[in-house]
Amino acid sequence: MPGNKSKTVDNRQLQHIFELWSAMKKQLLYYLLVCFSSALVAQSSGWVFFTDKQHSALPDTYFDDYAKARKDRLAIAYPAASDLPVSDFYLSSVVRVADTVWGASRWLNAAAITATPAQWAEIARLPFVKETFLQSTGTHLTHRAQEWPPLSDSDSVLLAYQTRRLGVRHWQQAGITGKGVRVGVVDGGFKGVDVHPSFAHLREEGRILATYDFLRQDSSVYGYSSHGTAVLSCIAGRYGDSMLIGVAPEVEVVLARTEYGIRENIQEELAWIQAIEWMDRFGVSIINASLGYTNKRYFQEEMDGRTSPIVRAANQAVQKGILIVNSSGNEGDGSWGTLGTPADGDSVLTVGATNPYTDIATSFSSPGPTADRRLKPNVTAPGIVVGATPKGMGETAGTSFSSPLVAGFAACLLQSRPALTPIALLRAVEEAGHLYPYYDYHHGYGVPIASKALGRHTVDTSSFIIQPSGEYININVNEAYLPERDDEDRLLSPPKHLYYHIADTDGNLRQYRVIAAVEEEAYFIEKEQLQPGDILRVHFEGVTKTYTAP
Amino acid sequence: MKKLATLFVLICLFAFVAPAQTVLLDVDKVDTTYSKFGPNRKHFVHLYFSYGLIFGKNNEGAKTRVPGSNDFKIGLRYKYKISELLSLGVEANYGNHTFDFRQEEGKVIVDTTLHDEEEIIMHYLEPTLFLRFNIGERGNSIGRFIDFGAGLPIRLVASHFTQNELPTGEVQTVTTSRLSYVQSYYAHAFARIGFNNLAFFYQYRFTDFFTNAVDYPALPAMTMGIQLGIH
Repeated sequence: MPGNKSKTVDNRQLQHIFELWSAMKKQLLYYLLVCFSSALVAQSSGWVFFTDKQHSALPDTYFDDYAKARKDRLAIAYPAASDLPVSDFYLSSVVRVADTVWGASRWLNAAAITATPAQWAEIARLPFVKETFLQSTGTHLTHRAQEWPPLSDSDSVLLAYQTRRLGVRHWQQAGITGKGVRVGVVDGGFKGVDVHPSFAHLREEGRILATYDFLRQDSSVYGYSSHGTAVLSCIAGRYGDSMLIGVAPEVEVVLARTEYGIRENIQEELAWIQAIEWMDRFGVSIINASLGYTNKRYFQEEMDGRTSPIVRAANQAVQKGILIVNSSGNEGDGSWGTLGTPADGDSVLTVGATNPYTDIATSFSSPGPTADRRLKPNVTAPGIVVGATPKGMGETAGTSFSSPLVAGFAACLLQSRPALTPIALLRAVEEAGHLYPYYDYHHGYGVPIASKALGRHTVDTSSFIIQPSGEYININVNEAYLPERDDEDRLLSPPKHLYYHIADTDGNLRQYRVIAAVEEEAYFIEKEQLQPGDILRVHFEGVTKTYTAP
Repeated sequence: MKKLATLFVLICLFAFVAPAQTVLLDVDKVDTTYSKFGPNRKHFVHLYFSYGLIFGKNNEGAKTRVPGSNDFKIGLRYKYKISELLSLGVEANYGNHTFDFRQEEGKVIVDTTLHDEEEIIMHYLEPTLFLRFNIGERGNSIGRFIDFGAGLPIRLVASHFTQNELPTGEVQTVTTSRLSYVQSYYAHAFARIGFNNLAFFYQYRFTDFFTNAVDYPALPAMTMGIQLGIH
């Protein structure tokens, strides 16, 4: 019988197992030993934060004259304690213990190192070490790979749209082009910027002030990735004599390479922080960073604006008079599902992407809120654009390109109102959002538009009404704002968007929607959806109205 | 952030006649509670593929060939995180274990007849248990790891396959199933070292492949290859 046979085999098998185990265990144990020993000596990268700076000093020439003037204008004291370099004694003490010290950040008063667990433990015991922060690696340039075709008719339309959507015409009419404002760009490389015709005006007028590759420690950044090429073009690039790629063609720029692209390690985050510290020396007022760190290094609950070293540095930038403009990320339709860091910083201007064909958020644009429920993104801008490539021009997509469009917008705003502090500038960009004061976690305050920033924007408050009636709250749209129809009742023009959200008493959103308004009775909401004190906020054609639940 | 119901409805508006409520973007619940499921959360489940080459001591009469001798499996892996350093996991796999025999004088498996091609293939279902040691800090990702575990492939079907070219030029293949001389299961231990989706594994079979009803020489017991996690 099969059962009996199996039993016999089992007993003999067991004996055989032990015999074979004896024969192969030496080999297997050797393998296990190799694996274990590699685990035991495995190195981890991270940050060492120091208690103070001892007696370090700063040479008077550290900041250039433009930077000093900017700090004077914004009443920022310099040199501040955070401008002083990290103590040489502290650094050399860490060097003696750690395997590798990648470098230091004066703003964070910290060093980035790689060390074994035993070395980390020894470093943590040093009397001048305030905190250690171990982390893994992994970053995303927030660019979605896409074929970049040569500029076609449809690309021409798209190119014209991306600046028109931000109302560049109004900036131009006011003579505002970003002139006199210094903008920093940190990215993975700026391949072709030194020869591409879209940047000829920057090169010929000496408005590329400085470049530095913080990964290779040299001044050339015109190789490696072309991501920064497209990003820079969306700030200050031109196409031909008459078309703009970005809204601020006359800014002065400082370029830094801080991202490897494929290879990821702690040097990148250190390079990013060192780059913005370096840009402060040139009086940079705005820095665009089209990158973010997500699941490889962090958890979603750590997107709280205070956990990652990079967001701590971004928050410090504000105290130095610098506004960081950061893409929200392309994780809207990914497993991460929310924004990365430093987009979670409360003093970072976080930019999401809209689809130019629908004018609502793209599915890939990372939505907010932050883990501590703050509003993010702050604003949005077109995320499918035409930008400069090393070989010409092409369509590309990602919040990477929404961010520089807004960075250019912020530069124009700063030119028009130079006394703005970074936080005031951030608020001014938000207030220029086409939805402001309405907001949601996909659009923030909407796409900033120049006419609003310049106070030239007029709205018709009769475009819609909120009308509570019985069990419902009706939203009725003025007939003049409805799309035209033909005799067969087909729509002849695209309907306008009606936005609504339901917010609790703290302003946190419970629900939000975007509706295509095609009838006078555009939408209705059941009153039972609202809790006492909840605010129903509705936006249509530049007008925001509210209803508070009793 | 977790949104239980986030739905984009981008539709062709002109296709609808008089739709009073065409919703273009709908987020009907916003919360900031986070899942317990994920690559570095408490629970994680994912699909994986594994391919390895079988090698080791080639006993007289039972010499095999590489890469014809190989092991392929597809499986579902569940990982339970105990701490940042340690996880416990189980897997359920379907696989096939193929021995490709050299056709030379002295061959005794399954007999002394020489063929153009000769293989024994065992299709199996396999439960495994493993312990995972993670190395280094990471976010919600698998990161670097070393696994130690054991598996018990249970035979579904075992077949003996031969192929010969006849004098007429025809190719004749013969497949014999229900092989009484192949064990109904075997056991193996394994170690894996990996990073995120990719792992390299070493596996050692420490039970006989053939039953004691036959006196065949032992077959190579080691498998080495790669595994690709789908997540």
